Amino acid sequence: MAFNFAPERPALNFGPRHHARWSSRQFLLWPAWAYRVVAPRVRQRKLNVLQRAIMGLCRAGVPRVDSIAEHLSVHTDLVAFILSELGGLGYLDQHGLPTEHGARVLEDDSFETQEMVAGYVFQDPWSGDLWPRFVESLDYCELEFNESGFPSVLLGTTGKPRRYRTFPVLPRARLSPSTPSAAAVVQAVAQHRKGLRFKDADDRDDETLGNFVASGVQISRVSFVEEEPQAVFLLTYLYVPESDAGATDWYACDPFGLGQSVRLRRRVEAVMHDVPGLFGVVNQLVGETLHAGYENQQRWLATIQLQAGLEIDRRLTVGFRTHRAFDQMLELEAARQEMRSLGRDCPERKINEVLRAGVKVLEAVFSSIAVTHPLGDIWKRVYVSRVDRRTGRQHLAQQQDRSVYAATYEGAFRSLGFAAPIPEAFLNVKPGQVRSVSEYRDSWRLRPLVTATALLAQRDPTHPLSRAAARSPDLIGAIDEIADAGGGAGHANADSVAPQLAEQHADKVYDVVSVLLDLDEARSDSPRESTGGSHEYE
Amino acid sequence: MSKARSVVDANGVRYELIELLGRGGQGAVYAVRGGRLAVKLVAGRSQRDRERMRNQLTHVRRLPVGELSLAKPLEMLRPPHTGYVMELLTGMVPIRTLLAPPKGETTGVEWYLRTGGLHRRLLVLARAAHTLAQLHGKGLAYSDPSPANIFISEDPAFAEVWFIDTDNLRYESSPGTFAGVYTPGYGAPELVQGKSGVTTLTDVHAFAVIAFQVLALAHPFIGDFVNEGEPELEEQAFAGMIPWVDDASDDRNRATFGVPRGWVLSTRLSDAFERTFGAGRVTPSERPGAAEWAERLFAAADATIPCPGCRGAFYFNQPRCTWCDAERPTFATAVFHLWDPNQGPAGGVLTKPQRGEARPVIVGHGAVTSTTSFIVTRRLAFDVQGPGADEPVVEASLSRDRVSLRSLDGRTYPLFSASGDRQTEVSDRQQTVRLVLGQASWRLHLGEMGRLHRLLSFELRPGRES
Repeated sequence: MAFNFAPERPALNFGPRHHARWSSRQFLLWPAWAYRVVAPRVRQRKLNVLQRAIMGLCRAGVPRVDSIAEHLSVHTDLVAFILSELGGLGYLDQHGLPTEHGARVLEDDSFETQEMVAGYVFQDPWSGDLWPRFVESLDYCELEFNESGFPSVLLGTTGKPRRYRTFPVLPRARLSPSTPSAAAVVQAVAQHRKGLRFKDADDRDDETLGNFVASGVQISRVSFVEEEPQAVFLLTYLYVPESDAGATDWYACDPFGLGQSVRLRRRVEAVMHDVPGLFGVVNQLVGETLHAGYENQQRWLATIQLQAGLEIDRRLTVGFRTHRAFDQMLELEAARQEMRSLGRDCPERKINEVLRAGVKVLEAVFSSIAVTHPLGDIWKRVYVSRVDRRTGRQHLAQQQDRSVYAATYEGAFRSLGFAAPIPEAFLNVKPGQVRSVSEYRDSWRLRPLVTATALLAQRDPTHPLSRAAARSPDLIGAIDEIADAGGGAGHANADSVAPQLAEQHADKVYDVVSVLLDLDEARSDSPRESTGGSHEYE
Repeated sequence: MSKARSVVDANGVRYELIELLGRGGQGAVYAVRGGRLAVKLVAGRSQRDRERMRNQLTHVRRLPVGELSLAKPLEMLRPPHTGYVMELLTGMVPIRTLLAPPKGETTGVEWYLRTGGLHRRLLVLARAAHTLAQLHGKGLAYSDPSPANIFISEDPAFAEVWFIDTDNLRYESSPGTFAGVYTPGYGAPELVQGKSGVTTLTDVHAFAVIAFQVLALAHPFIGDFVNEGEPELEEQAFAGMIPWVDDASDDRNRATFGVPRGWVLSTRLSDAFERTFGAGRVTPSERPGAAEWAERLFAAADATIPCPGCRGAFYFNQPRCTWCDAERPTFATAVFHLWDPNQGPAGGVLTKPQRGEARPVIVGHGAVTSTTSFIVTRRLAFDVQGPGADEPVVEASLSRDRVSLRSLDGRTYPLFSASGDRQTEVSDRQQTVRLVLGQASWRLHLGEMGRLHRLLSFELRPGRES
């Protein structure tokens, strides 16, 4: 078995695609070890472990909260909550028995006889990591070599062939493959499924969420059809999208046809100095000395971070540096500084970044408040006691009557001193969401968090939210606007926002944080004067 | 054939048939799901048929034709089906689409030009001849060239050529062994008469018939005499017993239809057709070989320029566009000579004696107009045939009396004045040369000075010549 990467090794074409029209591009043959494997076809379960257990008990004729709690050794409240959830999902009927749909879901989730699938996974020769991709067959592409041995890839149809010069990325060092673990193979299969769902989206989350493996997958069933991998090249290309503003940022295509790939771009950046010629290829692509550009970009980013930190110091005092929300605030301010620097060439995603960062800041601030003023069981204020007709036992259930829980919230906000009308979005928060943010500290959802905090603050005049409401009765409206803008920025069909509005949004976040943390004296309504930045928007 | 929706090959791989691509005397071809393969189901389901086909396919798969543009058989089918799996030609149509317009559309200049015009027709024919020549060079006969077996690009902007039905490939056969393999109208007289098996000479006859039809839109043996006579006359004509339509010495079978030959045939092409259908009708060895056809067709294609009015290509030795009668534009001819380093003390252009004087050997030519640049391909620059022959080497563009040259392959080429005392080079940065009527131009050397290589010079030709 040949372990070296020579240009004559087979090249595979899984149809790399760009995310935007390109102005220039360069084909690459990216090296990989291809392992032929048989693995379970991974699917996402619909039920978590408790839901599955409770569904099973219900199917067995044990639909009572207390009995279930006893069997599973969990609290009755949790059982009641899950039963309510399962009912809401249509898996249980009014008698607590599985519906036809619920029975089918339970059956699908319970079977461990997963379908096996044969195919290939691909390993990065430098890091040994598997690509989060799985293919069932290898699609070879035709290469032509010129007299100097440089390959061109033959694309198009037989009647309309297109030849493109291609740069083979040949690792300088002689690399040996290391057989990936069964868990890594299953993970690659699972991530491929996820990748297909988020096709064409930025794939940066592949790495941050990279440890996901669907529960119930029998890793022991993974087997390698061939002991040794095959050295192959994956056809892909780097490209610079068309840009009226003359931007020369470059992108890399996912070799497996799922759009642009942040992973591959990072890999290119990581190895470009070790692969002879690759640096020149990228350099030529962007039409300038990338190395200088890269260093400049690093310097520029460092400057942005520095400026952002100083601006936060100025607006929220140096003391804020130790606050739990400082990182989020730094993210917001850095995005704003970048937006200013880019001026009229600022891409929409950067503006959206400012908007989304604002929500994260407030979530962090309210979460920090919850640390000093625990929300505890405040959620019970919007839960009601129910008696099981058959068992006679009591349990807590979500208040289903919207008018009742909305009135509870409104009463809390109004009694704190917030000005009417209270935004509808707060009054629509579901009791279950209030419970969720109360019980799980890492569950940061802004509106439920604020609502739960208000329910608590209503009982505690010394609570920071009580004092903030007294200082700024309009605060709740500002929070709602921030949440709205941040939510809109996360959706593909959202209208684009002008940079001026993003500026105002960021200022609003500062104002809200100042009020909440009682830093009013540090507030400034004129960020442009303070930073002295020379930016211009039209 | 049974109503098969799927077939299985000898390796047990199942193919789902999704579309009938074509049906002929020998069977039917289907596209299979997955996109890159086709299946040919052959008529005849007996054990003997299958054995014969298996032997033939095994034989064909061993032939040294890997690099040729042939859709090769990949695997036999398992019983009960008889046939094989082959490569699918995507984006291609049979060359018969150039022989006549589709039903409902009248034959005319507009259709002729829309389907690629003269230049594309010459180019696809040249490429088909080149593939045949490569095959013949290996001692193999294709056996059954026909308008249904030669495929060309569907897009008129492209001129790729592939051959299908390669299950008939064989070394030259003896008379009678495979006498039945020809398409009526395309079989050479000796094949039709049963005097010969398939040979390279029967291949070139069939190819020449196709070439004549593609260019002149007429069959070389169906003139007015055959067309208006008894059906038996057609059989006689195909058996080579009646002169061809443009016979130099017998005008019995002239055709009053088809494109005027002067519009579409260069002198050298007319000569090749006369040798094929005139003397070659009775003496097969008189026929030009496929390599000669390729050379003459490429040269003819290189000798055309596009009309600035109708965009149709016409031979640049014509004073006006043959299609729309527009005046020929000013252009420059590009002439390729050979540089011989052993000629004289410092090397010189290779010459040959002709009518008592030494004349430079011309190995290729082309033309550049102010509207269409001339791309020097590897075929013209280095005499490369086959893969890579169409890769660009140098681009020449004309503006008034100036030719600009630019390297397209990343190399630099020396450019000398006609006297040889001044020198510069052509790289990816453009160099411009002024052309003067009646004066030799600068010469672009397409190789090292110490070796035999081609050199390129230009000559300005005004649109209206006195």
